[in-house]
Amino acid sequence: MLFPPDFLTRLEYLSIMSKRVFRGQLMAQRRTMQTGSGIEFSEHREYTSGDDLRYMDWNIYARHGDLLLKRFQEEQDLHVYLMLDSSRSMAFGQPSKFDLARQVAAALAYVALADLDRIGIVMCADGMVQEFPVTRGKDRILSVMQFLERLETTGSDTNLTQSVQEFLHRNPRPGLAVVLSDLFDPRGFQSALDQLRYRRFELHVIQLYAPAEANPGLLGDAELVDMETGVSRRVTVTERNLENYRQLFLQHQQSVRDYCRRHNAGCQQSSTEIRFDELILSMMRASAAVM
Amino acid sequence: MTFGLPAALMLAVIALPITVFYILRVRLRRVPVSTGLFWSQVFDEKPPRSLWQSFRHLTSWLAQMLILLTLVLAAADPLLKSSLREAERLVIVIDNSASMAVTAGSTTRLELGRSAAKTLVHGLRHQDEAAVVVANTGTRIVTGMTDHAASLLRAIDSVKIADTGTSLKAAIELGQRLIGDNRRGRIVVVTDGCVCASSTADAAAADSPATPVAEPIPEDSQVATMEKLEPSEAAGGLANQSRVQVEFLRVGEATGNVGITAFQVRRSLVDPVGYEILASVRNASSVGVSCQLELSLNGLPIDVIPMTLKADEQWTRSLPKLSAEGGQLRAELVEIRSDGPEGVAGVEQSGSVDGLLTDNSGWAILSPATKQKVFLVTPGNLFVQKVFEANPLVQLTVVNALPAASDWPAGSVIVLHELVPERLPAGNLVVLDPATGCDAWTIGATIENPVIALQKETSPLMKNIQLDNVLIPEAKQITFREQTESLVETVDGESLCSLWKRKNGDCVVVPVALQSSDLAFRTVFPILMSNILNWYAGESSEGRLTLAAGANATVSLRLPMVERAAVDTAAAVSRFFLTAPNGERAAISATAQPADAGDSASDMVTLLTGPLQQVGIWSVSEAEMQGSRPLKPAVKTLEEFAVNLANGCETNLRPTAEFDLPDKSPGGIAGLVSRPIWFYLILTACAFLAAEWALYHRRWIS
Repeated sequence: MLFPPDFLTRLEYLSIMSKRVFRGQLMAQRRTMQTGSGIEFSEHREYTSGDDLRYMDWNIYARHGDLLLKRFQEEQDLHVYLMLDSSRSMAFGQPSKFDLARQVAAALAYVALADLDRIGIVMCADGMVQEFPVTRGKDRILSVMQFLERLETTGSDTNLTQSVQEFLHRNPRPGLAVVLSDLFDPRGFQSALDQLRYRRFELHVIQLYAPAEANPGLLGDAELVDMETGVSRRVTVTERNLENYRQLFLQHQQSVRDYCRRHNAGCQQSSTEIRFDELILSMMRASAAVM
Repeated sequence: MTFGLPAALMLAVIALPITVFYILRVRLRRVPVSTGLFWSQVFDEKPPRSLWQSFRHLTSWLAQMLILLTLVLAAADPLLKSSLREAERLVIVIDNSASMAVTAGSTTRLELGRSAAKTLVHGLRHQDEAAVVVANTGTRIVTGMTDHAASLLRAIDSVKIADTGTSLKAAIELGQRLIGDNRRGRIVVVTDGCVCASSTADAAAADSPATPVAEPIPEDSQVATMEKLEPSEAAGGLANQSRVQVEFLRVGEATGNVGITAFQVRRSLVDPVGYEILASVRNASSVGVSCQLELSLNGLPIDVIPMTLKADEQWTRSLPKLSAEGGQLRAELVEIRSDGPEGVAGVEQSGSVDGLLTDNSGWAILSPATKQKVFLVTPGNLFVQKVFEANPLVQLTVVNALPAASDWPAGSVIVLHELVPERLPAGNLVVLDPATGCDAWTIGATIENPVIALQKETSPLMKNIQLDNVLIPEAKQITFREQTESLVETVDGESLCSLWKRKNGDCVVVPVALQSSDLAFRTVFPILMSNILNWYAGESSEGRLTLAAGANATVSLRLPMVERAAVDTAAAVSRFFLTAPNGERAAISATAQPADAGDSASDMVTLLTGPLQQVGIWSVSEAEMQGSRPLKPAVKTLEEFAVNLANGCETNLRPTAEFDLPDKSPGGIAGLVSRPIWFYLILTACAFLAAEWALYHRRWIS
């Protein structure tokens, strides 16, 4: 069962923990640089025809006779986009990476909704597969969970760049983009993440991997079948091959970390052996990713 | 070639499922991977599958087929036609004599022999049978013919060192009886080659006790026992007479040794409180040695004899000593040193001049000299009187007339010279030249010049006596009313010395006229009187037995009639105990000794003990009984006897050149070459298995 009965209880716990950890930094209370209809005074400007007279500073006018308009700093909700990799490679592992990714997505969505932020969920595979529209309100969590529960891995390849491009074509409002993926994109993951950064999305990467991917217990003759493409390869795996594989995998992990550090993006790499709530908490403590 | 179990060839059908499973297994596992991203990079460096990798699978299948083939053939037990004729019956004769205790390196010769025998057992084929026989002086079947290898191995392990000589001939004969008429019988003798012809020849009669030495052994008498037995001689030509093949497997290397080859003691024939020790020491090495022979009586040293012996020199001495008391006499060789250049101990490979400890000690039992009361009734004969007076162990009372019937002394040996009462008194009697008859005999005619034709030499009364050249004129013809044992007979069958075993005491009658005979002038007369007194004292003239190791001992006890009746009951089985030198005690059975012919009143009880396979002092004890149960550990020692190795052939630890056989290591006869075919097939299968194992690990390591 993807969402066990106590799942919501754990989410609530995570929400409380997030408030403790990030006191005073809740998402919905972030002040933007825009001035608008907030209550926090920002500056004065001269009155021009057509301005709302409600914001006229009558005290200044009474003292000095100047028509000045009061301006306030606007508070607006944060948009959190959960970009969930639903390629077939995410079905690997026991439990599968996709299950953990959906649980993590549900948890992040709950925390965000509880903080009055807006969340949107985007499914990525060889393109943008499906989307949960941007929504807000804690009462939407059930809809989110139902949406996640219905999802299945799909596609014939992992193409994050294509998926991000399709997502950006919808002209989303910049916000926090959380990418939940194994990042096994033959074309490279950097291009997709770069595009998000270029559109002023605050980036956070959660890379999931199965233990069998890090250390495959595979030796001898075997026919390797790529879960995404279905391409098979008859090989004889020796210890040397295995060691090479491990080296390549570690290099890939390291490249993800390097990218995130270089671009000041949040990064969390986790095995599927860890529980989703532990992952969220460690993520919160390590990098304050839910900001 | 044929097969002992051809039905096992049916197992070859297993090849089908193996092939099927092999094909199924060779079909590669489909392993889903989340991405081929990394695997592509790994395997892009070289071609995914080489020709060898494909061929390797075929090699593996061939290896598996060969494993199956060899195992099936092994199960079918292939037999060569030469070995098909009949199953082999093997008798393994293991020499466990004293010389096998010699240590060769870190192991004894016996251990080497055991491992050689085990190799033979391991080489047995299907249906072959083997038996294990030990070849000490008490040849014994350890386990009979069996094809159960575990039993044979256990039997071989159970063979222990016996401090005895070797009896290869008897063991080979026993092995031949075990093999019977089997045409494929084989006897393998595992020995160190330290055997001699006389010991093997005498071994068949090993159940008889060693005869105490009657006279000092001449120095060259040991030479006979030193002669080494050749292998052909050990087989006694039996191999030629039968189809049995006798092989000799020698273990151990030649080593030097110095040992006591003879150690006996006896009371002096001329001095009643004296005794004579016969000791013989042999240097059985190729260098000279010096050593000391320490003699002690009851733990108290009585003599220390230093000696220097040349190579292969025999030292033999008769040592007169004085002691009225008896006890345990012990000889021990100490301070044995090589006189050769330092570090050179002769040609022996072990480099030792004293390889065997067993023969460094000798034991003997010296009987105490006890005084006897003698009541001499004689009208007057100085020779008769002086014979007893000269014996310091005799307390003599002389009377010149017959006492009244009630005045006969009790507990004394009564000697009647010429004077004989009408009714013989009770007790032990010696009657010399009886003038008249009595209730036991009548006097007949005089034998003018008797010619002695028969002398019963086996009787202890006639020990060391030779009457052939003694003139005995005017002897008396005596007719006994009851049956007697004639010790000396004339040509006419008349007895000149008779032993009459009465219910109330024995009686020795010598109807020789001492006045006219020269018997009283000869040394045989005091010896005869001494023998008679010793007989009545219950001791032989030489003292107690000193036995050769491995012999059986028969202990005769003179018990009261009431006790003898108890001996006949079953409870008597646990009444008598035999205690070995190492303290081990075992119950022995006692039987009433069959009385001599016509004498139903024997009060002798016979205890048969042995074989006595340890050197040292053995003792027969009697437990104090509580009802029908012995009261342990309260025991009363009844008899002691000494057991010595005293075997020159065992002392000589150098096998003869004839036994210097080609180096047949334990694996030489029944090693790898002689193993059955199935053994090699199994080995081949193991080799194929190892190859397949390597191939398997190349493919399926995890």
